[in-house]
Amino acid sequence: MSELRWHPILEEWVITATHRQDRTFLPPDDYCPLCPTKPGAFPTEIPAEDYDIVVFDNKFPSMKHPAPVPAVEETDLYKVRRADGICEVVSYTSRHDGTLTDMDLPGMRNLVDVWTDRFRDLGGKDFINYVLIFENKGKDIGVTLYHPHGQIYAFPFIPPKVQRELDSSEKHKAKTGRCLFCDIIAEEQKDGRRVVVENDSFVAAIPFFARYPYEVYIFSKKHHQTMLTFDQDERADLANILKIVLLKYDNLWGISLPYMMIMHQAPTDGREHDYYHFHIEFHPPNRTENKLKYIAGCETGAGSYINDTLAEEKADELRAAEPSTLGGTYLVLGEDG
Amino acid sequence: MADAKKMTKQEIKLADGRKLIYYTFTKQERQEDKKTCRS
Repeated sequence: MSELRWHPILEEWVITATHRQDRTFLPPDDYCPLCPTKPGAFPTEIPAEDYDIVVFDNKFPSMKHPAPVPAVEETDLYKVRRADGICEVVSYTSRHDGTLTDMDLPGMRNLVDVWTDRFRDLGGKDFINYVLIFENKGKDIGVTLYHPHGQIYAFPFIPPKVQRELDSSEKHKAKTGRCLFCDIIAEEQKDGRRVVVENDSFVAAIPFFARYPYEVYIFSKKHHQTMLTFDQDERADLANILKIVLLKYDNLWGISLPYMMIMHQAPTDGREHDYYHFHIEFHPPNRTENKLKYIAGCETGAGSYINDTLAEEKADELRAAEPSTLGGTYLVLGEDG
Repeated sequence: MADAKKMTKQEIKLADGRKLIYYTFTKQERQEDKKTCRS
């Protein structure tokens, strides 16, 4: 069963999805549901012998369309709604081994096109008010499948964290006449110590206010609200900077660094949100190679994050991690072509 | 300048009614790989 239950204290929706308790959990490689279906072998979720990128409705969705009628009656205090949304899985590649970091640059560029297409398609539906593209990577984050993949949740409401960002951005615009995120980018570039890498269209930084030790934000330099207004060069630049940040993460300690990658774009509720600004957030749980930062009592109970590190020092570490430029890594590939 | 569109979509219905979309790409220009990055 799946439904939205209103949290009257925090004034936000909670999604119940009891059927997800039974979802596939870390199956053996031979039974990976995201691999192509080979002749005579176990039939996976994908009935083809090979593919570039595939997107499909999640078999165990938190929300679906049309949504089932809620199993409980609402009261004046406890409101209930149908969980009328869409949950998709994006399998980045037919190759089972590896991670997003291992995709080549053209593959990464293709993925940017797929994300853009899914955002346009899902956001265009009248019952969808927000499209969240994200990836949970690594066992420490709680992935249930190792095959490189991400997810898309298309919500019937604007999620609370995004709503807070919208509110702060709107307030800043009203007060200063400027975009909050554009001001953050300018401040980070002016200071420079927290910038990890940048290219023509994007800047990646561990911002002043980072809550996780290696919390990288990728901001578009132009004031875009969504990916839909990126030109071809910006799409290529996004693939480029994603690849660099991911490589730096893995080269930091020579491990495949777990993370949550979340794309924040303007709502698709039909309203103008011109004060908002496209960005991607990375939240790796590691504070050292072997120690994790837990979202513990203070964070969960009070909503106040304690960062045991300084963004300036952690950005310095990531800047030092290879590749420091795309030079030795991709220029060679380009010049060969 | 990166090259133009090279993506095709094929949507199918799975046996249980769920939607699945294959995204297929033709070979890309490599010029976009030449972009440099400052750090």
